[in-house]
Amino acid sequence: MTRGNVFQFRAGKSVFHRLDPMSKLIWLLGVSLLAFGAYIAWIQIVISFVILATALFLARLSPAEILKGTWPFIAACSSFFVIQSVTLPGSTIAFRVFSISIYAESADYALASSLRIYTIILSSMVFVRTTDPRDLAIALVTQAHIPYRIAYAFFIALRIVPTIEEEIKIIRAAHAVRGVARQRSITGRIGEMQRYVIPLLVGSLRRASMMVMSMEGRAFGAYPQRVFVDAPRMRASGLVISISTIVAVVAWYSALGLGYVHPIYVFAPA
Amino acid sequence: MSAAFIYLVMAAIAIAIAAILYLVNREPGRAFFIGFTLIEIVIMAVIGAINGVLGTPNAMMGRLFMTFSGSYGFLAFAAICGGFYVAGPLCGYIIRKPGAATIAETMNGVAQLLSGNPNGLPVLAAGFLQGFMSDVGFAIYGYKRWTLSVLALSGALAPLLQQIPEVYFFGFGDMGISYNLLALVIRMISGAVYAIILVKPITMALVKAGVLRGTAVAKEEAGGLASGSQPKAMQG
Repeated sequence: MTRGNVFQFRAGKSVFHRLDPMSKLIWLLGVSLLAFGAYIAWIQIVISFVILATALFLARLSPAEILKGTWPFIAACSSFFVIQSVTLPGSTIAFRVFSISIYAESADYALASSLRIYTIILSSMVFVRTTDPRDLAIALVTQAHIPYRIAYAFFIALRIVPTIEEEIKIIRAAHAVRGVARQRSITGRIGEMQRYVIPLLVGSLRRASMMVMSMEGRAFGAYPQRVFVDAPRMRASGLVISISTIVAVVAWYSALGLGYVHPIYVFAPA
Repeated sequence: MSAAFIYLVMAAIAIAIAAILYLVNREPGRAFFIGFTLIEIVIMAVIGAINGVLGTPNAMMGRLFMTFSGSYGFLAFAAICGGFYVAGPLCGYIIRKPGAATIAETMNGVAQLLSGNPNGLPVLAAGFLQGFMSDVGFAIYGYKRWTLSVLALSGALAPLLQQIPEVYFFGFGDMGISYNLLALVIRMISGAVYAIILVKPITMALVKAGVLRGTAVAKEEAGGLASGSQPKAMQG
């Protein structure tokens, strides 16, 4: 399984698979807002553990899948943490590594920044893996009341994304057959991308125009409203998760606003 | 916080001025918003999605820049940010209706989110904001002028609002207003350069391939060819 495949919907029977898309969207937005809330290490640690537990137990993702999908980000976040801890200024020396002083303030800030990035990536993965794009498009119409023509554009985008990687492979193979060698350097890869853009766009737009003919042939857009046979609905579990998320976000930002917690908190003594 | 507030107020004033200019410059009798045809909606979705998927490696490169180069990395990343903004000017240029750039860039955000952009849900908000500002660039001229300078303006305006959440997300707000203004200027130049270099050549290639039939730019090109003059998209 490639990393790209990990970031795709897979049918399942977990709690998150059974939730309606809007509840999951509210959850995702809430997690992002909480993660954005402050540069405080302890709260980011708590949020990270909650999201990891959600991925493992409520979305039933295996540790191997999580690792495969997020290992480049784990590496990037780890290096982000190390570099920021070493380079940021501070006043309280926590410990020394090879005569380099590591400050408690900078380590705290770096840990919060790194975990925040990872939390957001992991929550996105949970959402994408457990949400059927078709259900999401329908939910946008029936629950979010977005005009269905726009929601279908969203749906088309969701359907196209997984095919683009395959398309690039086909174009690359076609170029190779014609004697164009694959470039390994960074500049070479950028050049490759430029070569791929036009065939990729032409191929996708050609298929899309056939899709349009098919949709218009079925009288798509003839009526201002559209009904769905199996529209997802918010059930009790969705309501509980949505309300809990909203309460957590409001409580956290109220605590920040009223000064109960500080946006930048350090473990170091005052 | 006060700097962000002043920034937002100035952006709101700029948008209000752009809205007035749009009302003054638009074609007489033209409605404020014009509905999209199905093919236009699909084109916005496809271009937005492809730009989003191709933009994800760009985002990862940006993350690496910032990880290994700290504050300089954010400025280096700003130089390649124009790649994220292309879908807006491109769709605005092809479709030539208010909102085309906004929808395309929002689709760009959706595609980035689904293809593993390391910045998660905030890319959706970023996509919407950069698309909206790209639309403002076209709105200033009433969606009537389609020269390179207007494309450059559309690309340059894209990061104006989008940078606010990003600065907070990456934690560069503490670097001061002059540092962030420098990053904004680099992003605006990058957006303008990418729009100038990519939008017209890509559009012409797509028109020649016959996949933009039914769009405003295809009609203009067909009109130009029928009258025997040089197509407008080929002019500067």
